[in-house]
Amino acid sequence: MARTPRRSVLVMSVLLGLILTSGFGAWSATVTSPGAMVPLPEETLDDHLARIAEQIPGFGGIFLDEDGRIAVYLVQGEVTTLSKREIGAAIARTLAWDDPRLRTGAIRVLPARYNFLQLKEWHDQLSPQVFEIEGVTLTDIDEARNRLRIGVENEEAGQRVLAALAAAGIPREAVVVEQVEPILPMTTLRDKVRPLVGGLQINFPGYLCTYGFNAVRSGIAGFVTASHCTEVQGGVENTPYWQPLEAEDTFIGTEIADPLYTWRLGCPRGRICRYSDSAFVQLAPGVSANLGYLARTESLGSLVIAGSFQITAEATRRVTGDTLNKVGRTTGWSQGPITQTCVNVGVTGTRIVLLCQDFVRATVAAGDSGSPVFKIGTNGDVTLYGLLWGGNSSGTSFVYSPIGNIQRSDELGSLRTCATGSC
Amino acid sequence: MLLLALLMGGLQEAGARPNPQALSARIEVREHTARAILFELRVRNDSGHRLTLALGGRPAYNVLVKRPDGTLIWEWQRGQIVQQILEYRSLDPGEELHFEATWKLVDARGRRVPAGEYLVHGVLNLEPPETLVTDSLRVRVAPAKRRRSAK
Repeated sequence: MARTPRRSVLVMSVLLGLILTSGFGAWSATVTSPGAMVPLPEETLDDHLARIAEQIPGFGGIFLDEDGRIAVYLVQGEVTTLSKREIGAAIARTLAWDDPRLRTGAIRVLPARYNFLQLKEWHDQLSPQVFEIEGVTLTDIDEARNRLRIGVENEEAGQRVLAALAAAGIPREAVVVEQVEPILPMTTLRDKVRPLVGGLQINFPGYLCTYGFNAVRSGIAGFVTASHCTEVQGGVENTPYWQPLEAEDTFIGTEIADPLYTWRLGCPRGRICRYSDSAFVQLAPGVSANLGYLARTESLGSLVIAGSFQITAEATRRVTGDTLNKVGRTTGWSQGPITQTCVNVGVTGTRIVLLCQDFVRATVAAGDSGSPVFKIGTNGDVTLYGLLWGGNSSGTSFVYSPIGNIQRSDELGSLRTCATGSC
Repeated sequence: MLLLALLMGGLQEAGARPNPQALSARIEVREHTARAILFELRVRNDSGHRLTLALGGRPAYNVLVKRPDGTLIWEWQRGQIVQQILEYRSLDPGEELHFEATWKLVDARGRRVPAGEYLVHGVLNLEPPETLVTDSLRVRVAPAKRRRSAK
């Protein structure tokens, strides 16, 4: 498979970091082109390996074996008098790879079936042809197996590849055809994603926050995010939202509900309070959203979307010690235990006190406001717990507004949040 | 004064390479009484053009007080809950942002610190995990006055 020179440098750097010493063996070959070969910048790694094969007859590839040793394939019948040290020197020169084991010839030699030049010729011939077959995902000269490798998505594509091999006159045994996962472009929480799901980056004038969760409120489709992720915290200013950033085709909706912060029973004197830091945004016409779904990333800490969580329930009670999760645009998916429940929390720099909020010991950072907070069940489905709005200065603990608070009659009121038909 | 590295050319360029020498940050004493010191953190656009700065959190700044050996004894944001929002703020050439924090001469447990010299840093949180930290400012805390005992 063609690789960029930059990537080949990276590959070689990895090799450098992994190689262990190995003993000398009795082996020799002949150099046919001993001059220093400095790779041209536009050459691929395969081109570099072909240059080595031009210098070392029978060269079939190079890789690090399972013990980290430098292993070199050589076709037995083509080798003559070149020493391991000379082979190592040719490789070092061609790949600009300064390693003492190459200089001293401390390499492991393996018998090869095919010369790298032959493999490359077949690869260059085959690659354009097989990529016309639907379901072919990759072609490669596999240096570690001394074979060509063709990845297919399904058996049907594999059969068609075998037919193409036969038509091209390429020996079947020179090619490994195997099923591989399709290669998909990586999408992150900060990319444009449709249909909309919880956990994505959203933008309103001058700020970035996180898309909480889809909801239907009084028959209106929209989503919930943090009240402080509106132009003014408390009160409706018709804040416009874009996902992921403002652009011609990324407008997603307008704020239509954000109750005022007022003094009420239970609110400290001189302060203004609410039971949740939440606002409701009506979706713009034509914008698609998946009710009841949250973005699931590859792993904890990752921003790369790998699927979704399905909301099948809303939390009716919260218990200290329960493990909760959040997905947010800055720190991705994080997880930790509830450490405190029903805490009245003063918001730094304001007169606002949020009543009866919960704390979770898990990673958070600026931009995560609005993140959905949830618990993962044994079957992978999730229960919605609330909406993240704050955190400590060290980013090790976050605060969220419980879903029950968000749906109080003096807050956003009743919401439908679960996947259709699931709760 | 510390020259700052992290700024962005605009919202669309939120991951762009920083332009060194574009921002400067310093912390100053605005008021010093026997019971407290009011610090001011100032961040200035020293480039010749308009900049857009990412401010991480609300509030986006912090003040750290350390002993001369570097031990942290107090920070303004300790115990506070910060709204986890990311703000983009434009700064014209020469324009400054100002932030204030008061230290009541206590340690993290709220006990009056001993008389002596302390090092103070201002911190501005940018796009996580980047921060902008000032050089240290030396401040001197005088011995606490004894309360008069009633006779």
